[in-house]
Amino acid sequence: MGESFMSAGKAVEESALEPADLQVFTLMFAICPVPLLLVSEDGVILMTNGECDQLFDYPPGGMIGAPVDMLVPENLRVSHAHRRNGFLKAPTRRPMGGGFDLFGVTRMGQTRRLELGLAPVTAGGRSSILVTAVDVSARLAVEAELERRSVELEGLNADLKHIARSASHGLKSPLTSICGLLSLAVDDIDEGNSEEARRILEAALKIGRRGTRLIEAVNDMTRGPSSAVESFSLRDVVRDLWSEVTATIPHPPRLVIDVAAGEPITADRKTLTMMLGHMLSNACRFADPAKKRAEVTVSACRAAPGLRLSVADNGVGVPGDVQHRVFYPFDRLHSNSGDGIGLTLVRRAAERLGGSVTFSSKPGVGSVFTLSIPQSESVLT
Amino acid sequence: MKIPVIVVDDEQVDRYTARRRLDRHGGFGEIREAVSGDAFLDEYCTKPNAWPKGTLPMLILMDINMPGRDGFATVAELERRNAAGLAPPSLVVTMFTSSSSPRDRERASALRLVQGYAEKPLDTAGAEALCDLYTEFLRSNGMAA
Repeated sequence: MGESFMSAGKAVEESALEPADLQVFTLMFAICPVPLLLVSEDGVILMTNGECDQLFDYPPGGMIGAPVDMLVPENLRVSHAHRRNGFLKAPTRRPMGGGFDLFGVTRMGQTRRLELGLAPVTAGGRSSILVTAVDVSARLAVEAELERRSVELEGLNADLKHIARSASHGLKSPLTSICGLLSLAVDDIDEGNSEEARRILEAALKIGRRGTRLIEAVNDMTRGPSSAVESFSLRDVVRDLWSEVTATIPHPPRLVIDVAAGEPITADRKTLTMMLGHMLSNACRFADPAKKRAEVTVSACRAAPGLRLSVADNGVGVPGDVQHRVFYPFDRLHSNSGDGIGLTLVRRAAERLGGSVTFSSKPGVGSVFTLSIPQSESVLT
Repeated sequence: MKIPVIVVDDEQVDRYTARRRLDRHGGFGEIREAVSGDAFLDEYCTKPNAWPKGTLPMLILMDINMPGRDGFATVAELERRNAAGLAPPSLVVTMFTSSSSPRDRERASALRLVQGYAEKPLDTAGAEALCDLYTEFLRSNGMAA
């Protein structure tokens, strides 16, 4: 026993513990690896151990004689005094983790989340309360982080489930349609109606080809990065794509090209053409019939990490409640939707190029899809 | 008795297959088509008392995966309109899908108006099963077949 027990020793002088008990009690109190306080019935701190002093940031024995309420945040002091009196009316052991938790405040005014245990102690006819106080702030922070991650994972898992369902339906339904048609064709052939059988077989063939393209597209999604980077004119690519995309549209939207600031572009031409093709085709497909004039604007500028390319339309827009599903594969949100895979491919390709694609949309106003892809510095200068 | 049918499906090919299978069966009468859940609701479920008394219950083949309002959302809305007197008063709704997912079957069975579940592509046995389902519905609701 040495200096370090002074704080405990000093306090116990005031209690009426028998000298033999006192020594054991003091020793145990001091070496206990959990912060301990002994508090009198009227709320005065009688004794603390080193762990407790450290927890509340006081010098050894610095809290002795002070009201225990000073360790409670100011706005809770009145209610704490009430709770203390309530406890004293029926003092029973309250083990730690029994929901008797509190905020504590250190000498420097920092708030700590504490898990408390209370035990009434009677010594020499005098009642006091032995308190254990463990700082659980760090543990709670870890728990909160775990909870946050768990919620995040649940969300991702729900996304994955949704994607798996959509994809399985997206790939299965063409086959189902083909089976239905083929069985009708068999009937037609049996009945000698070869003209109808032929018509049906051609329809089945068309669906089969579409299915093949879909599966190729799914394969594309898992392809590695391409290295075929070249310098080319964005304007030319947009113009070529536009005539392709609008070839079958009776009244195509007006096209505005504002890409001078991005020229010339240096990228994987094939991939970028594919992406722009999907973006332009969507912009046309979702033109708003209520608008006097449908318009699609393609613009480009230099911005970190290189090139920012936007396709904006004044189309029907995407309702807020389904916006998160825009990039899901095979999720056809609108009767004008295509195979439901275009934007999934655009996003995958953007990631493959080291960039990203974002969008903002307002129903009745329009949508903007923005592609950001890195450009190598040597080409820019 | 010829069973009146509405096929609600965004895939033209699937509507065609269903129509031909039902035609060939012989037990089905007029077969109407709707190209989406919304088109179906707009066409058949907007006017009160549009359906004369004594009309046979309408058999609905409802695709599940449709863009816009999917099959489940369409049936849910149909239930509301049916309760408000805006839909055909008597309905035999069957989900009609290429999905064999138990989850979809579960969701279908939770809907009041849904009586059955038909898998695509509709074949001879499927058409027969629909006819049986319909006849059983009439019998258990005290309607003459």
